[in-house]
Amino acid sequence: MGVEALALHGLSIRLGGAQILHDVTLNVPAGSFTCLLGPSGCGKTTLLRSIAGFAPPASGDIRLGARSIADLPPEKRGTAMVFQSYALWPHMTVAGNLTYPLKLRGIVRAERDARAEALLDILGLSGFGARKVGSLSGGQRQRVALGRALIIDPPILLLDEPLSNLDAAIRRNLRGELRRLQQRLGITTIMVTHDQEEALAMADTIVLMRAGRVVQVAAPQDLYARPADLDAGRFLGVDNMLAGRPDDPVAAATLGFRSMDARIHATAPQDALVRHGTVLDCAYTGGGYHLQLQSGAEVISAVSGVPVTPGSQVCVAVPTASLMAFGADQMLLPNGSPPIAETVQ
Amino acid sequence: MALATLARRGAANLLPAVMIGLCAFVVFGPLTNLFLWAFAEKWFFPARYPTEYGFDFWQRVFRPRAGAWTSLFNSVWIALATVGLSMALAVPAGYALARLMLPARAFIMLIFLLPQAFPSLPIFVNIAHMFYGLGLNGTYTGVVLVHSLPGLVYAVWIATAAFGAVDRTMEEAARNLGAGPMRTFRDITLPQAFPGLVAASIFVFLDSIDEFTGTFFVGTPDISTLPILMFNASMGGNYQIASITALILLVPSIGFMLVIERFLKADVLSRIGR
Repeated sequence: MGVEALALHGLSIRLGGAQILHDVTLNVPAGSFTCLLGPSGCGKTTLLRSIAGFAPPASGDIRLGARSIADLPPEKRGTAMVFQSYALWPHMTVAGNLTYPLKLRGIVRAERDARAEALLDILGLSGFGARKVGSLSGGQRQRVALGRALIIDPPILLLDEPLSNLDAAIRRNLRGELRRLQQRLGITTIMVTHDQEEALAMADTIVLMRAGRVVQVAAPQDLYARPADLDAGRFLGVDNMLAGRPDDPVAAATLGFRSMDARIHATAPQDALVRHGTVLDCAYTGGGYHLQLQSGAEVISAVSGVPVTPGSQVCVAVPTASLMAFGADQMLLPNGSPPIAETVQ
Repeated sequence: MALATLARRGAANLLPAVMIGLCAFVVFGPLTNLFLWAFAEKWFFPARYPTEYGFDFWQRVFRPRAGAWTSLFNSVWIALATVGLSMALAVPAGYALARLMLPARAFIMLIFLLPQAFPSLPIFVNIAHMFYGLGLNGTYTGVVLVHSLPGLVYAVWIATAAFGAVDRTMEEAARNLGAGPMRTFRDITLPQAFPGLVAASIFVFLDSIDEFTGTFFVGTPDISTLPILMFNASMGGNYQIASITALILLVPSIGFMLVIERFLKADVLSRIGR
């Protein structure tokens, strides 16, 4: 069918009186890997299900390539979805699951079997064809579910938290495997996840969602360095949010930074955000120490290579490059706003 | 010390043993009696056990003109037709009740239970009265309809549970990969609900094989089933024939127990009435 781009225009969805999606507009380029990222209940799964045809839109349009698919029933859309629970059919064998979509398309048995065989090879499941689905491990089921979706050579692949039911170690392996497979096939892929690490590691583009709206669409590096607002920052692991002061190197209502960028210094360095505080707690985290500091009314998380006695007074500094400046409206301030320290002095 | 422990353990084992023995007696006592009667040639009052055993009455029961064969075939055909009718209604009804978010779902389920909630006698008397008007009395159709009344309760409730136990995402996966709604139902939903539907059919079949009151009011004297034959024999004091008929009725019950163990999954049973 070939790879196709996906476009959503002003998509709104209501379920049982509640507005799940508000006016979502999104362009997914052909062959890209896009992650829908957000906390649970943000509407990311509903968005994916609406693309597959399981959540009828109240308004808006869904276009796959040149054609609108918003009014088509699920079976006519040609999207291939991998469900979070995998949704393999337990009354069929592994090969039966893989070949069912081909059977629906009227492909003869010999070719069905040959294609299933080839796919099982690609998935590293050779010889599993005659097995019952129930006898497979979680990772194997996940591969079969993926294979069943890919066997129809779909224009777009939809993944609903495909790795969330797996052990951490298997998950990390499959992440890379899935990404390589996607790149090799060049298939347009949309994956739903609540795991920011997974999204950062796999996606070309991350769509950050909150409360049924798209908050930010950005490449992983941009999203990580420049979250659109305070909540987005918090969701992406910006664990320090301090009220800005006039003598800070960046002018902002709120300054955000990650604790791994905040280090203890003997003397205050240049070109950095500096705060003084009392050490509340010092915990060993393997590679170093994680500190909690009381600085005025605020608590700061920081890291240190050496242990620090709780109760001692320290100076913590964050390089200006690691700071995120948010305005009074909680939105990220545009880059290059003049550091207030220079203009005041 | 050791003796006291043993005694205590003995007492602890004794109670369950006695309880199991009592249950066994309650269940198997009447069955044993039935069994004895079925093979008793002569058994008169003061004798504790039959004085003569034999197959004389079995021959009498299965004599061509005794009506046992006719009753047996009647019973089986009526039961099969009842299963057919009940399941034909219960499969779509059960699917709708399990899948579609019908507003008054609990209420509809309750309505199906209503015929069981009232004493059956007044209901059957009224049905017989209605059927007279419709010319259905003494017809197979009439008897099948009467048997379907309690049959539908089992069929709809169990079918609803069976369809409810099918994971909806499996249906969605089939739709997603190109199967239309009917194809999905046939290829995905139905095979997975099948054990539950088999169980429902068996319940309906057994209920129908066993049904007496409705058949008595609607079917007799034109249509005789095994329970009717048994009733007539017992009323005539012919315990041998009644017992033999009862034993024949046991055959489907035992078959049922064997099948249900194979087919009915615990997760289907646990969803009944949900």
